[in-house]
Parts: sequence; C-alpha cells; structure tokens
Amino acid sequence: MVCVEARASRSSGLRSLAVRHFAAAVTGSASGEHVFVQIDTDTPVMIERNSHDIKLPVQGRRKRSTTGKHNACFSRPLHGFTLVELLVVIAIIGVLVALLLPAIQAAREAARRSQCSNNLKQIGLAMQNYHAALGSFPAGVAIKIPENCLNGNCRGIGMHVTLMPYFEQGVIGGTFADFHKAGFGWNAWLQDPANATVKDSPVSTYLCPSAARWDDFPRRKDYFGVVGGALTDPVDLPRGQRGFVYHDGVMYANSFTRIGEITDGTSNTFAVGESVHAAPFGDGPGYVGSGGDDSGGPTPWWLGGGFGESTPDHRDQSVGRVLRSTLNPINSNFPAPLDPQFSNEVPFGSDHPGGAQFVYCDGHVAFIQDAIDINAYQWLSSRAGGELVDK
Amino acid sequence: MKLPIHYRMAHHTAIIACLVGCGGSNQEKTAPVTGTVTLQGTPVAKGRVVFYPSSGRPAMGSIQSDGTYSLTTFDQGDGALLGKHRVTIAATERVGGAPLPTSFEDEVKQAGKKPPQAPGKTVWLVPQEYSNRKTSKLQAEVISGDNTHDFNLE
Repeated sequence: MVCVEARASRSSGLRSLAVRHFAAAVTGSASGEHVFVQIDTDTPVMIERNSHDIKLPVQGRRKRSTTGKHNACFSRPLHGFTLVELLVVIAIIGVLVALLLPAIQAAREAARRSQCSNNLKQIGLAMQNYHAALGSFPAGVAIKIPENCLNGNCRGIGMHVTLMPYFEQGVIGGTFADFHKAGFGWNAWLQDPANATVKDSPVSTYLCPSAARWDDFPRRKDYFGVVGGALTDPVDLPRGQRGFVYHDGVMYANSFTRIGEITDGTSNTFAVGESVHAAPFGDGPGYVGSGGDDSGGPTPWWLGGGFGESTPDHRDQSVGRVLRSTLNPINSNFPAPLDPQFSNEVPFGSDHPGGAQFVYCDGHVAFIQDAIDINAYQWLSSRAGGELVDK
Repeated sequence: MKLPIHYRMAHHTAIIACLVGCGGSNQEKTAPVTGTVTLQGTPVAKGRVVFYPSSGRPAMGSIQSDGTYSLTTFDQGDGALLGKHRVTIAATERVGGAPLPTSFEDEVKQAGKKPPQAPGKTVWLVPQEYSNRKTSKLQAEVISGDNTHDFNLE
C-alpha cells in the first residue's frame, strides 16, 4: 500500500512533497509499474497509474483545506451518509408527515360524518315509511293518560322505539308492544326480566361514530327529535319543572304530526337532529347535573318521556331524554351548570367540527353550522310558523 | 452566505409547511363582554344572560354567585358578536316537590311507588319579562375591545 501526503504552504508558495513509502513505488517501478503523482494546490489531486496491483487510496468527496495536515491514508468509505445528511432527510420526512397527518385525520372525520349522515337518512326514511303505513309521523313521545300512569307518574314510549319496525329493527321494537296500550311505559318494559338482555343492545342506527366521548355507553342514542324552539311568546310556551315545553316542532308529546300539518314545508322543517350533549337524568355518569365535569350523561335508546298526571296541560313533562329544542344555539354549553329544571333545554350539537346534522321532514340531511342565525335556526324547527327562511 | 442545496431545500419546505398550516379561521369577530347583574341593588346569584345579535349566533353566560357573568359565543370567554344586541336575563329556582332521585336505577325503582306529591314550582328570581327576547327591553352594544355591561333590574 502506498500513502501520499501532501503539504502546501500558501505563504511561501513553495510546495513540499513528502513521499513516504516511495520505495514501494520505486520497487513497483522496478517490476514494470509506474506511478505518477501530480500535486497542485489549485486543482484536485489527480493520480494516474498504470498498475492494477498497487492500490492508491483516493481522496473522498470532502473538500480538503489547503492548510493543516491531512493524512491521505484516509479510511472513510466512498459511499454512506453523513449525520447532517441523515438529519436533513429525517426533517424532510417529518415535514411531509406533518403536512399529511391533518389531511388523514380530516378524511377520517369526513368518513365518520358520512356514516352519521347515513344514520340520519335511515331515520328520515323510517319516518316516511311510518307515515305511509300509519298516516302520520310518530309521536315524539306516545303516552296515554291515565293508562300509562302509576300513582300520578306517567311514562310514555319514545319515538326511537316506535320507529324501529320501519328500519328493520322490528324485533327489538316489538318487545314494547304490550307497553304502549297500558302499563308504566318504558319503566315497566325496563323492569320486565324478559328485556334484561335487549336493554343493553346497541342500536347502530342511533350511534354517531364521531361521538367518542360516550364510547363506554353503546346503548345510547345520538339523535333526538326536534320538539320546536321558535315560540317566544310566554303565553304559548308553558314552563314546567323541567324547563320549557315546546310543541311547535314535528315531534312532541302525542304529536302524530301529519305532513299536511307541516305548512312551512317538509323541506324547511327539521325532524331529527344530532345531539351528543349530556342531559340531566341520563343513564351515564353524573345522573343529576351538578355542574361538574361528570354532570349528566347520555340516554339509552329505550328511554321515553316522563309526565306528571295531574299538572295542567302536562307542563311538568320531562322529554329532554327523547326530544330536544332549538332554544339554545347548536353546540352551546347551555344549560350550564346542568340543572334538572333545564333538562328539556339541552341543545343540539355534535362532535363534528363546526356544527351538527339534521334530517328534515322530507328526508334530506343537511349540516347546520354553529354560526347560523339563531332566528333562522329556530324557524327551521317550527312546523307551521309561517316564517320565511333563507337557507 | 451560500448554504448547501439540501439546507436550502429544508428551509423552503419549512416555510411552505408554515404557510399551509397557519390558515386563518373564518369566524365572525367577537369582543369579550363581562358585567354584573343586580336586582334592586342586590347581586343575582344564579341564572343566565343571553345577548341576541340582530343576526347571527347569540352569546350566553352563566351568572356566578357574586352576580358577575362572562359571555361566550364560539369559544369559552370569547364574548359576543360586534354590534347591537337584545339582552335577556333569566334566573329561576325550583321550590318544593318530591326529592330528586339520585341515580337512574333509583329513578326506575322508585317512580310510581311513592305516593303522589305536590309538584314543585318554578320561582323566577328576576321578573319573567326579562327572560324573553320579545318582552325584554334590555339592549347593549358590543364594540371591539373589552366591554363591560352591568344590568340593574327593577
């Protein structure tokens, strides 16, 4: 092996060349091999050789400084990456991933929203089927007083149960058949041992895949009938122990609304909307709202309405576990703190960014933004308000 | 200073990433609103204040025990939309009636078994006319910057 060491002195302009092991080259020369070494500070080292036996180490890609001592016996291989190059590559990959990740998350959320929109579409179609079969939309809460009452308390059957046969969940819905006509409504159904298993069954049509906050409660529902919300005249709007009792929407107690009664037009009137907000008297954590983080909870699909038998015009009705109103804006955190006297006033809302989806009485589904004008929002919830809504 | 090409590429990529990532939001302008609600000089201890703009999303705030409130439109504490507002103030309390059940299981078991009790009553802590945006005469204008709106009700 032959090593060449070059030294250059800029100040003197003299070039000194120290050749070690030159004897090797000379020896090689004696056997008919020649080595020529050209040293110049301005041009790269050029090594010319005509031997195949003598291996000269060749300078790597790194620029060499003209000062200082360099050992041409330089062991770095010709291929491979420096640390800086690796870091730059990692940084570029990192930036690309950072650009891509939000897009992937947004695509995932868009898929979940589509699935949620499909659930609402199924509910809308089931309502049309119900109307075709029975001549009206289902009641928000179907209740017979006094048949469904016990010691002054009454329990009705919610729209989520009565709709079931119309989206092919008739077997589950059928377990309620005996409790419609008489008995203590959903409360009696719940206490019947025959329903111990079915009460824990999730109904996938009623679950929004974006509502991750309630993943531990698969028997919940994320869609609620629109009870109304456009009434502002206190004379028309009774207020009971559980808050305002709206009845200007399509789904309220014993509503059985016919399409002919929706004079605002079925395409301008909400039927069912998303609400993932906790309600006082829910089945999850924090049963009675205390205002803390665990206040209230989700409500199971089989929960119906509760009524007082004797109160005039049934204003002491609790329907917030089946129906919701447009009193408060979408996704507002009201009533806050959750208080039993406002359990009918929980807003619509969703975990989709920026709004919530609604199915209208004609079966179309639309995404309503948080920022919608409150008047337009409330008008869309009334069936016969006569308002002109510019959507 | 001339940097090697891969340094410059990384630099440009970082700038583009920042430009892409920092898109602005299109929410309407809001301004923080706080204040105190009193009824004949005494602070109202609970309830809610709602600012209804002439058009758009209303701002709401809970009245704290010392009578103060802070409004929220989109994000906690962001205030109300700029412009003129119709203001409603509602404060109610439930008095009497059967004690509330403490859990869902409790409700299911007990409902219907107890003798019927006289239903509770809702008592208005401030006159009901202030709670409705048709009957409330309260108004407020929200301008950019911090706003303080105190309401002394009769």
